[in-house]
Amino acid sequence: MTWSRRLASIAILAVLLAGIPFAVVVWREYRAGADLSPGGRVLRFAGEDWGAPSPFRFYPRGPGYIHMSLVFDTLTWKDARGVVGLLAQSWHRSADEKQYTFTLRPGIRWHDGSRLTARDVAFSIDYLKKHHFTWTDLSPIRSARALDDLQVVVDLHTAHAPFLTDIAGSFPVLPAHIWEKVDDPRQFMGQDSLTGSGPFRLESYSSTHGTYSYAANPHYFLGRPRIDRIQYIAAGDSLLALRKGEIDAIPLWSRTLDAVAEFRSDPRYRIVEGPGDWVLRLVFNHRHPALARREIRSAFAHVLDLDDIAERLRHGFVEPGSPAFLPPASTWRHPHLQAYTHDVARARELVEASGVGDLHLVLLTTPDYVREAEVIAEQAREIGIEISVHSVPASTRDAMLRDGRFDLAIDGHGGIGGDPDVLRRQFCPSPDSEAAHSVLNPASAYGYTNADLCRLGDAQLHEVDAQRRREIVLEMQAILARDLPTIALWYPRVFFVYNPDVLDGWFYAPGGIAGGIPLAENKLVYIRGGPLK
Amino acid sequence: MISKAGQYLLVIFALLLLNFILPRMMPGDPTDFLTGTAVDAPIDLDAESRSRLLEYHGLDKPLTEQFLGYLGKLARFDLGFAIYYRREVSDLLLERLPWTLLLAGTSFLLAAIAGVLLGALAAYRQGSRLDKTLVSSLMGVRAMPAYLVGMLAILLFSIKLKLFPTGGACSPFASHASVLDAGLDILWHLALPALVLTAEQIAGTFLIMRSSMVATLGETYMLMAEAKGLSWGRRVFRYGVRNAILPLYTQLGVHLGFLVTVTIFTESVFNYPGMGRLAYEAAMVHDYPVLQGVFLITSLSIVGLNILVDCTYRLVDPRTGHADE
Amino acid sequence: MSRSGLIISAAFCALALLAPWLAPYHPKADTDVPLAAPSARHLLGTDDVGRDILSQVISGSRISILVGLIAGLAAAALGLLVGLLAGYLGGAVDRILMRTVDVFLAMPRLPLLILLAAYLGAGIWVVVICFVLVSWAMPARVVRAQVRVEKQRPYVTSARLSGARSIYVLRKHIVPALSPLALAIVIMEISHAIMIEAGMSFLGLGDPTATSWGTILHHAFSYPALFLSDAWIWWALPPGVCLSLLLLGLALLAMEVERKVDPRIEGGRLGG
Repeated sequence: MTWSRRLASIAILAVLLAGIPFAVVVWREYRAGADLSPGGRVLRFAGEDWGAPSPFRFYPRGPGYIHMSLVFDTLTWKDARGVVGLLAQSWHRSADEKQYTFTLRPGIRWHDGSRLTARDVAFSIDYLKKHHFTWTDLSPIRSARALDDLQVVVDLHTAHAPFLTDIAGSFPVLPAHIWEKVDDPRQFMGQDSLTGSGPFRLESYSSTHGTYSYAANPHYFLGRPRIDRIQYIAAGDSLLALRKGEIDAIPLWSRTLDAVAEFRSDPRYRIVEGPGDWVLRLVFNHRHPALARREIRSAFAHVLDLDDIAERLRHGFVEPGSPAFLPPASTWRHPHLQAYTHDVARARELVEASGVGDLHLVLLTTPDYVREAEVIAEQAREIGIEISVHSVPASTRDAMLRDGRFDLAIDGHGGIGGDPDVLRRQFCPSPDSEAAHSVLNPASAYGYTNADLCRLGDAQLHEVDAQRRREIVLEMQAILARDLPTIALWYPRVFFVYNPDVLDGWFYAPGGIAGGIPLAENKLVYIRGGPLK
Repeated sequence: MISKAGQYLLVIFALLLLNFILPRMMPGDPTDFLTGTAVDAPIDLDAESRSRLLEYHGLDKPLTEQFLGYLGKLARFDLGFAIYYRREVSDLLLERLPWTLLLAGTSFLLAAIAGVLLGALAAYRQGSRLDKTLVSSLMGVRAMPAYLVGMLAILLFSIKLKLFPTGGACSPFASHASVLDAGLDILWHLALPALVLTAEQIAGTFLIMRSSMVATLGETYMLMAEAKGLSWGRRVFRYGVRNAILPLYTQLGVHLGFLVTVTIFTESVFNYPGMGRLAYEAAMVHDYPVLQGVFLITSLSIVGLNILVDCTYRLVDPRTGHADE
Repeated sequence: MSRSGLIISAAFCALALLAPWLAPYHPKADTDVPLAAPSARHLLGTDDVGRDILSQVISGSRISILVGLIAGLAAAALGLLVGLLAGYLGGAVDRILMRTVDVFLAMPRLPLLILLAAYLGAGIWVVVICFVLVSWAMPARVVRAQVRVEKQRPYVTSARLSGARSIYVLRKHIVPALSPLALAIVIMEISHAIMIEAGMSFLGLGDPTATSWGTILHHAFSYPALFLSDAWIWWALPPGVCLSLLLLGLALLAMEVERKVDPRIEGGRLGG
């Protein structure tokens, strides 16, 4: 029976098809589990892959940075009230505002036991600049040098108002004795690349499953963390996982906001609300002959019913947009700007007075905001502007925005709740690029320029006096409200739902962590957080 | 035979070229995803850093040069360095591949066995109520999209009955007492996605099996066997299945293509860490090397399977001297 | 059973044609409070922005069937043409065409669609073009095989030997012999197109401004609290059931047609 033998060998091959991978994964998972020492007080989150928590390997998103911040420290950080020193105990700013001298806390040690000194800080600045660390823009720094073991001097090119929050509070300090031997940091992996000074050490990470396990660093310079272990686990649906007690906390934002109501009524959970450091905007292409005219843009501002969009589409979990652009929670927001009232008749007059004929526009959106796009199209039709909605993936939209291949677009981004320099970065063309349309974030206002705004933008950047700076920033917002380079549609509210039995004392740092990450997973909570049961 | 090999080489070259060109046709480049442009991260990348990044990943060179470099690396089994994922593509794929193989392989085996048995049964009882019920119910299952079946399965078995986990491939950070425990845990997570994937495939094998079996049952040697008084089981399995399995075998390549599609949906619904989900996510962040890697592996395995089937189907064919092509 | 495929397919076509009269509301009109449970006003309740779900499901049949028809017919036509040419002409043309078919068959279909949709943006025409690009190869291969079989038949051989022109042979002998198979192919391609349109919409890559069954499913399943209440019963299930029923109807119809072609190949060759 040779044929049966052939068939049998095929059958065996087929069984191996599933059997070999099974053996591989079982063995891998068994071994991975064997390395872990169980026990202790554990805090669990829903995991997702954000890359290894090493400065050149985390995925460049807020959560990726948060992971890295558990292992690496910065000079400054933020608590519930604002900037505090982290590695730095104190700092001194020179009279010309171009030089900072930081004094480090004494006795800080790296995870491998060697001492962290001012030399490490100076080295990190040089190293990150040299290797184009993408997360923090270090270009305002001219140089850095260590005076002694604890003092480091940082020289800037010009006075830079957001230095303490956006730079000193953002770039990680690396151990010089490890990284000075590394020529290509992007290829640097392994245990050494994860040696930091932070409150936790990475104990296990799987990019495949999106799981992380961190063990507390008992010798942390701010004291031993209150929890022994932080675990990010793979949970199918994080809402259900929280309900089932598989995880202890989740952030709620964007589409998951509707679930807030579900947890509000449940006494087992507590909720903190954070600042919605994010905005969804209607972007105009200022190269379009009609959209370049202010009357048309104001007509849009008058015809769009932002309250209706916020209430109907987002069920009140967002704040309607404001011409001030900065979000409601921002301390820099202009308090008395005249809002554009919802007034169809006025909008129609503006369009008619402008003499622009029939308008047919294409509105670019991502699938997430199709409903906003449809409502905008519906409302614009009332003043005779025909809009067809074109939905593309986010990546495609961004490329089209950069190339100016659009009339109108819906775009959302964060980073607006922190330092007000964001106004300059969003609306003023960057001087170092030749093309006229290139603002740093081209999505902001393609083809929009206003010399006055940019002059003020430069002025506020170098103005270190808080009161004078505030006045400049308010003036910038007044210009933006008049010019309407863009229309803010809404600012989301963000919530953090947690089980207080595991850890309490969660907060949202004002202006976000490290230059504007609007998350509550702040490492200070793990160290000083409220009472544990 | 040589010309055939040459043709296959051409096919593979065309695939490599398409794998290379397609991701680069997408607007935008991977640096968008390393900076704040595409995301809500507070990063602004100046022009110099941006061009340095492109240079680092070799994306500043002309396309032809990039392509030749890609081919050269491939020849050394180097799939490149992932831009967004920031590690070797081959490591990334090797970590994910066993999970996809496990899911797809298990479900394929189950579907093949069930399809062959049910197909043989239905063909033997052709026209009966059992036959009609089997045909319509299995076709009904296939008509339901994988994501819908998956969602309903999660709802029923995970959320309502709490029998299975809602997603993932294994319990995180579990210290298993023995290898057996680890195996059971993985099987427990595998059960629902594998069953959904099986349900999607079963109709395919069933229908092929049934129709070739119907044809085989009409052959004279089957009537002879019946006349000789061989039992039902012997007749069906010794003669029927044996002859009917050939069409099933020659359809493997096509089937694999279908399997890739359903696997992507199943993996995304069950949060299963396989290659399908990786392909989707890599497309969303424009990670060219990862996309190329995933495409390469899937298309090469489809081509490879086709070649294998081409070369070996005579082994499966009980009749000898089957005509070529 | 033999008629059920036809009945189901016809019923959905009728639904699509009569949608504007059958649907109680405009599918995009915000008619009520969001997430209303089924009531006399809204037999299937409302979705998360207060649109009537029943109206969306009824109107959704139009997009699904329209896209299915256009894309399916186009892909089948291209496949038939290529298969016919390759099978009948043979030689170098055959080899080139069939290697092209091999390339396309080896490209993973859904990842390719995802890439193309990302490149071209979302829209009904994009779905159609993408579908045709990835779906013509299979029918081409099936048709080619059948053409080669037909070509070997004695009456075709004798017609060719007696000097009949290719066009004549094709029109007189081969195309008629192929037509039942072609019909089955067309039906299967339509059903694939409907399935792909729904799948891409589900992933958020279809045309989100067109209310199709896939789009409804996309919105339903991306609503976070869907499974925390019973809303899935009247929100996710109806479009899912309609989609499955229509696909089943088409599959049964194709099988019926194929059985007429040749009982030996029923369901098999075009399956998957």
